[in-house]
Amino acid sequence: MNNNYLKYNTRHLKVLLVFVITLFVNISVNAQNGQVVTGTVTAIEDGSSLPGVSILVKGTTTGVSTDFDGNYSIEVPANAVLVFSFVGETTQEIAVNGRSVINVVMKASAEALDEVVVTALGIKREEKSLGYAVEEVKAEELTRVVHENVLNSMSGKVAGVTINSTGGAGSSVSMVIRGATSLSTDNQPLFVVDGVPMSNTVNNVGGFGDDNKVDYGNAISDLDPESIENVTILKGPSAAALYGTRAGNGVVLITTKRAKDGERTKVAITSNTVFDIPSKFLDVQNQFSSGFFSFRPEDIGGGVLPDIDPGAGTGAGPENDRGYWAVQWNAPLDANGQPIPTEVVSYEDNIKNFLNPYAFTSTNGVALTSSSDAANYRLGYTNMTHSGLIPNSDLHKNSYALAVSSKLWDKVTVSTDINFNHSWADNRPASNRGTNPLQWAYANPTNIDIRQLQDYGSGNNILRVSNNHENPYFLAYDVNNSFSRFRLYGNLMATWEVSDNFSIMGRYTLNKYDDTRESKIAPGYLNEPNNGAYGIVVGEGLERNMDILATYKKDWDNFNLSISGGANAMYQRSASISNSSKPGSGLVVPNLFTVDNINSGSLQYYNRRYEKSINSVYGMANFGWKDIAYVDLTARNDWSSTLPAENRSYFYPSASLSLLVNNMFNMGNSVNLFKLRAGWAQVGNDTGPYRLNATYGNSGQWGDATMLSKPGGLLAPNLLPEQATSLEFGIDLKLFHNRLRFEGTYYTVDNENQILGVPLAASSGFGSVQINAGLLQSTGYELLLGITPVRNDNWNWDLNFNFTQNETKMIELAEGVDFIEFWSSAKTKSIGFVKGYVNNEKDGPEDGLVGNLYSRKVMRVEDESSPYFGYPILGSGLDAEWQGEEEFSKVGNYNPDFIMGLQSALSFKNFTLAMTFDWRSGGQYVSQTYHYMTENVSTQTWLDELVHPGDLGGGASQALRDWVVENEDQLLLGDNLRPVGGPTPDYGGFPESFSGVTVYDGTFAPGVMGHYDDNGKFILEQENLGGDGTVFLPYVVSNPWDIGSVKMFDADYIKLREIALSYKLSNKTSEKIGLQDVNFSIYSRNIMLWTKESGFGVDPERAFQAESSGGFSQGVERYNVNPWVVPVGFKIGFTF
Amino acid sequence: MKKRNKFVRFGLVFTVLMSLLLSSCSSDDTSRQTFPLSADIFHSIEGKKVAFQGLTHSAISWNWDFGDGATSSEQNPVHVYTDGGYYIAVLTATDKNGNTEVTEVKMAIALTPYILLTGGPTATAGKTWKLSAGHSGNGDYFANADGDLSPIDGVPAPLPDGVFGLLLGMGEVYEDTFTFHFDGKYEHDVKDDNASFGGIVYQFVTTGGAGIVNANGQEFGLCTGLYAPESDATFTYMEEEDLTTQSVYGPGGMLTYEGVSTLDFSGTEFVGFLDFQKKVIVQEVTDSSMTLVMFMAASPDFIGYNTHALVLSFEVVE
Repeated sequence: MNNNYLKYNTRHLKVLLVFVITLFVNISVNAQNGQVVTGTVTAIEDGSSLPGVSILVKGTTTGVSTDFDGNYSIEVPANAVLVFSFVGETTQEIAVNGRSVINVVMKASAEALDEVVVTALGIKREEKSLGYAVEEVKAEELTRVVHENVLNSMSGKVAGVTINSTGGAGSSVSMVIRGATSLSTDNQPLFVVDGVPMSNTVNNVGGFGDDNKVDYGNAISDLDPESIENVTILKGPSAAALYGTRAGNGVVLITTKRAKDGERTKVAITSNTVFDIPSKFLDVQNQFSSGFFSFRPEDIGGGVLPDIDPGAGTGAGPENDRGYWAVQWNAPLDANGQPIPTEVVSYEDNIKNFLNPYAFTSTNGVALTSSSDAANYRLGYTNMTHSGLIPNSDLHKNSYALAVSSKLWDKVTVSTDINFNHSWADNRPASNRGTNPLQWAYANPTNIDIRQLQDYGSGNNILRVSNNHENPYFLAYDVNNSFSRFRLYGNLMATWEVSDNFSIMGRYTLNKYDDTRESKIAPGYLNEPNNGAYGIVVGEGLERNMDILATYKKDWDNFNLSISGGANAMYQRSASISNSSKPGSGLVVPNLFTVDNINSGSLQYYNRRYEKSINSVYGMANFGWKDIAYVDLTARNDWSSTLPAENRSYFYPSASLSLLVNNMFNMGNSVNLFKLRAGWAQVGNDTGPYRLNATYGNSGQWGDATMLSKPGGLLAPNLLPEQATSLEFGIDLKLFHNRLRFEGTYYTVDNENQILGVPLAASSGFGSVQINAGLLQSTGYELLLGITPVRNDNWNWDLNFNFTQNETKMIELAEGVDFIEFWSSAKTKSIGFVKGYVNNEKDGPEDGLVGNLYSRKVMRVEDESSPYFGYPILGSGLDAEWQGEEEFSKVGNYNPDFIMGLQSALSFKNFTLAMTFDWRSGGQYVSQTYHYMTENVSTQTWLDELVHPGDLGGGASQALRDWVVENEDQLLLGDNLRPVGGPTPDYGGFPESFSGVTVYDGTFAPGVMGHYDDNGKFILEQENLGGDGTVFLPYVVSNPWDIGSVKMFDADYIKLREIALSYKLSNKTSEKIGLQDVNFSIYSRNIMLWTKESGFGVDPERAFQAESSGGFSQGVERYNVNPWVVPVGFKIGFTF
Repeated sequence: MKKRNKFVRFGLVFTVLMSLLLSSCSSDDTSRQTFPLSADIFHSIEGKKVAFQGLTHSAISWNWDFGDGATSSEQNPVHVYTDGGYYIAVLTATDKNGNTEVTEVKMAIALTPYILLTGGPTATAGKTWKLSAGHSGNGDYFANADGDLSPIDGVPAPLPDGVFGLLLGMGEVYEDTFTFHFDGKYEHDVKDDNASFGGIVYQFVTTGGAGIVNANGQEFGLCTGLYAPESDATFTYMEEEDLTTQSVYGPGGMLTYEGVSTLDFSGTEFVGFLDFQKKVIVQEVTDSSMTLVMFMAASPDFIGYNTHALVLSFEVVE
C-alpha cells in the first residue's frame, strides 16, 4: 500500500479525534431530584425481558436504559411522563402519576414488520406481499456523504448493482443491474423520478477539434440528492414488467421529498464542503531523464554528458540526481549565447505541482416545507460549485424543486412536482488522448520542472519542451469545453377517491432539456495548427407521458384484492444543430470563437432530429389470502412507433407469488418473517427509431452540390424488440426482533432477439445486415445479510452485507456468426464467442461468457522433445524480442466474480459512525496508459521488475546462460515477461554500442530463435539465454509491445466508499438555540483500501472507456488517470 | 452566551484543522542531494572570447588559469585571449575542507576552419573524424534538397540519438573514419564491412544492387554499399563559394547555394555518405565537431538529381 495513503489516513484519524473531543464539550447531563421509579420491560410476543430499552423523561435529556434482565430504575419528578423506546418496537409514553413501579410490555411496531416500499408506477406496497426483490435506499443513505452524481451514492449499498465511473466529478457514471443482458444497448436502467421517466446514457463524449474528447457526464447527474426522499431499485423483470419495453435493464424509482399532512412550517438548511486531496499518482519513474541511452560520464570519457533530448519521449536518458551535467531544455545561455549545461535532476512532484492542491466542492441547500388545510408544499433550492484538480476545470449546478399537493375536495387530491435545473461548466477537461492535460503532464520529461511551462506564451509560439509535446498548462487554460444545460421536469397529477374501494389517478409528466456545448481551442495545440478550433452544438429534447390509472380494492375476511388498470401515452422528441471547424482545418483569425470565423470549406455542420412514441395499456391484480399468500399478476401491451405497423404490438406479462411461512405455521417468537417468493416475467428492450428503412447519408459538399451516400449496413424492416424472460426465486428472513435479516435471490434471465449486425458478402453491396437473433443467458445470486449485534440505550450497531454474483453467457448468435468483437485496445480484444465454439484449439470450446478478454500469448517452443520446450521464441536480429502467437487466446474477463458490499452504522448516543465498503473480486482490466507509458519506459513498475543478473552482468558468458537456464521457471517459463539487465550497471545493464559509445544500458529477452521442421521438430538457430550470440538491446526498447497480457491487470479492489462521523445535537440543546435537527458530520469517500494489482496507480473501477465513436469499452482504460484522492468533507444541517 | 462560545470554539478548531490539513499537503520539492567535490568545465568560443562554466559540486572557491598567464577566481569567468592558438585552461576547485579538484580543457582559439578540420601543420597524423551518434544535441536532421534544406515531414527533427543503429539496424555507419591532413591528403577507412554509408538508389544505378551490404535502411533510401578507399586521395576545402547542384527542387533541375563552405575530393572519394554528389557543404566546424550537408538523389525517376540531404554531425576520433 502507498505510504502517502497511510500518511493521510492517520492525519484524517487525528482530525476525527479532535472533532470528537470538541463535540463532547457540548454534552451536558442534568439530573433532577424527585421520586424513584423502577420496573421491568418485557416483549408482548414471548414475555421475555427486553434489555437496552431506552427510558427518557419526556421533554428532557434525562434517561436510563434497561439492564440485561429488562429492569430499570430512574429518578423523576412526580408529574413526569416516561418515554419507552426500542428499535423495532412501538414507542410508549406513560405518565408516572406518583407510581413507584411501572412495568411495561413492548409491542413490535407495525412499521418495522410491515415495511412499505414504492413499487412500479409509484404504487406503495407492503414489502411482505411482494414476490420479487426490490431494494430501497433511503435519503439519509444518499446524502450522508455527498456525491456530485447521485448514482455514486449507491455504490456498495445495493446487491446486484454495478456502478462504474470514468473519472472525477462530472464524468459519466454507469449503473448496470444484474449484469449486461443486451449486446446492442449500454444496459442502463430506466430512471423514474416522481413518475417522470429519465433515460441515462453512458457515452456522453463530445467536444470539437482534433482528438478533443470530453466526457460531459450523464443526464442523471442533474438530480439533486438533497431533494430525494428514497430510491427503490426494481431489479428483475418481475418488478419492472409494468414498465414494458423500457424496463429491460431494470428500473430505478426515485421519490422526492414533500411536505406531510400536519407538518408545521420549517426551513431546513444543509451545507456541505468537501476537499479532494490527491493521495496517489501514477507510479512513473523519476530516475532517468528523457533520452534513448543512459550515458554516464565514465562512458564518454568524463565531463559533460551529451545534450539531453527533451523530445525523445522516452525515459531512458542519463540518470537524474547523480550530479551529472548536460545541456537540457530551456538551458541558460552563456556570454557567447551558447546553452550552458546544468545539473541533471529529477522533478518528482511534477504532476502534483501541475494539479491544484485539492478539488473543492461545496453544496448548499435550503428547503421550505409547510402544510395547511389548503395545501402541502416543499420548495427546495440547492447550489453546487466544484473546482477540479485540473487547473481551470469546474462544474456548477443550481436545482430548484417545488412539490405541492392540495385536497381540492374531500375526495380529490391534486399535486405537482416541478424541478428546474441548470448545470454548467466553463471548462470540462478533455479525457482520453489528445487534449487531455494529464496525458501531457505525465509526458513531461522527468528532468524538466513542469512549472517552467506555466507561462506558456500565446499565438503559435506556445512554450513546449519539444515539437512532439503539448504544453499541459496550455491545454488546461486554452482548450475550453463548456456546457450549459437547463432541464425542466415534473408532473401534474390528480387522484379521485371515488369511493373507499375505487380510485382514479391521472398524470401528465414532462422532462425537457436545452443543452449548449462549445469547444474553444486557442492556437497552440499541435493537432489544430490553423489558429485553433471552434465548435458549438445546441440540442433540445423532451419526453412527455400521459397516464391514467384506476384501482379497485376490496378486503374480505381472509381475502383481499386489488385490481388496477391503466394506460400510458409516451412521446419523445429531440433535435440538435451543430457547427464546427473540421478537425485540423482551423479558424480564419485566432481566438475569435464564432461560426462566421470558420472558412466555408472548413465548416462542418449538421442537424439531427429524433421522434418516437409508445402507447401502452397495462393492468395489475394482487390477491392476498390471510396474510399468508400473495399473488401478483401484471400485463402490459406496448405499441411502438419504431416498429412496422403490422407487428408493433407487444405483450409483456408477469406473475409472482409471496408466501409468508411464519404466518402459516407457528415458528415461535424469534421468527418475525419467513417469506418464500417466486416470480416470472417477460420484458423487452426497445429498438431505436429509424432502424427499419435505409436512408441516404450526407457526405458533405462537392462544389455547390451535396453528396449523398448509401449506408454500408442493411436495415431490417421487420425488427423486433429484444425480449428478456426471467425467473427468480427468493427467501426473506427476519429473526430476533429484526436483529438478523436475510434476503436471498436466485435468478435467470434469457435475453432473446438480440439486435445484431451480421456480416454480409461484399458482393451484396452491403457490409452487414441488422437482424434479431441470439440468446444471452444470465444467472446470478443476490444475498443480503443484516445483523444488529449491539442494540441498547447508548449503543446501536447495524451491519448490512450484500453479495452479488452474475454471469452472462452467449448461448446462440445468428446463423454463421460465432462471435462479436466489442473492442480491441492495447493488443487485447474483448470478444464474445458463442458457448461451445472452438476458436483456438489450445483453449478448447469457449465458455461463452460475456466480458472475456483475448490476446496473443507469447510464442513458445511447443515441441516437447526439444530441450527448449516452453521457452519463448524470439524474433531475430534487432527484433530479438518476445513475439505473440498467431491466434488469440482467452486471457481474462472484465466482469468481477462477485461484488460484496458492507454497510456498518455504529451509533453511540448522538454520534453515528457510518461506513460503506465495496469489494470487487475477480476480473481483469487492460491499461492502455500502461501500454503507452511502459513502451516509453516511463513506468516505475517496469523498472522495478527488471531482472538483475547479479555478478553475471557485463556481457555474454556461459555462466550467465547457465544461471538463466537454472532460473527458467521465472525467466523463461513464467507468464511475467521481464528482460534481464537494465539502464545502468546498478541494474546489471549490459554494454551495448548502438550510440557509437559503449553504454551499460543493455538488456536481453531470454528465449531462443528457431523454427519448426516439417515434422514439427523445433530447430534451434540461436540461443538468446545470455551466452555467446545473445542480442543485447538498449533498455529503451525492452518492453514487449505486442504482448497484451503485459498490460492486463487483476481488477480486485476494496474501497471505503463512505465513512462519516455524525453528531446530532440533543433536542434540548438545539431548542435552546432555536433550532432543530442540528447535525454535523465529517466524512470521506471512495478511498482505495486495497488493490490486488494496481501498483501503477490505475483505479480498476475506471477501466471503463467511453469512446468518441459513440460506443463504450468495458475493461479498458485510456488515460483515465486522475489521481486517487482522499476526500475530507464537512456537513452541517439544521432546521428551524 | 456560553453556547455561543462553544460554537465559536468549534468554528476555530474547524478552521485551524482545515488549514493544517491543506497546507501540509502541498509540500515543496524534496531537498536535493549534495555530492562530494567534483569539477568539470564547459566552455564556448566566439572569436577570441571564451565563456567558461565551472561545473562543480561542493566547491566554495574556484581558480582558473587560462593558459595565457591570466587567471580568475570566478566560478563562470569570461576570458578574451589576445592571440589565437591552442590553449589549455585549468580549473582548480576547492571545497570547505580545503580539498581541491583540478580539471582542464584544451581549446582552439580563433583558428581557421581549415586548421580545425585538419589539426594544423603540427598534427602529423592529421585529424580523424567519424559520424556522431549524438544526433539530437547537434541538431542533426533529414532535409529536403531544397534551397532552405527544410526538414522532411514525418521524420523526427532532430534525429534521435543512435538512430542508424537502434532504429535502422545499420550501426556500423558510425564506425567509418575520415582523416584530413594539413597538406591536403585524405584518408578514408571503411572498417570491417568494407562498406560505406550511402544511398540505395545510387547503389542500384551504379552496381545493380550488387554492392549493397546492409539494406536495413531502405525505407529511408539508405544502405551501406561496398567501397574501396583510394590511396593517395586528396581533398579540397573552399571557405566560401557558390555551390550549384542538380536538384529536383531547382528551376531546370539546378539549385545554387550561395556563399557556402565546401569539401570536395579527388577521384571516387567522398566524406560520410556515398551518393551521386560527392561535394558536401560544411555548415560548421569546431575543434571537436563539424556538421556536413551530404546530398542524396533518392528518386529512381530523377537519377542523379538530389532529392534529400543528410545534415549530420561528425566528431573527432581521439
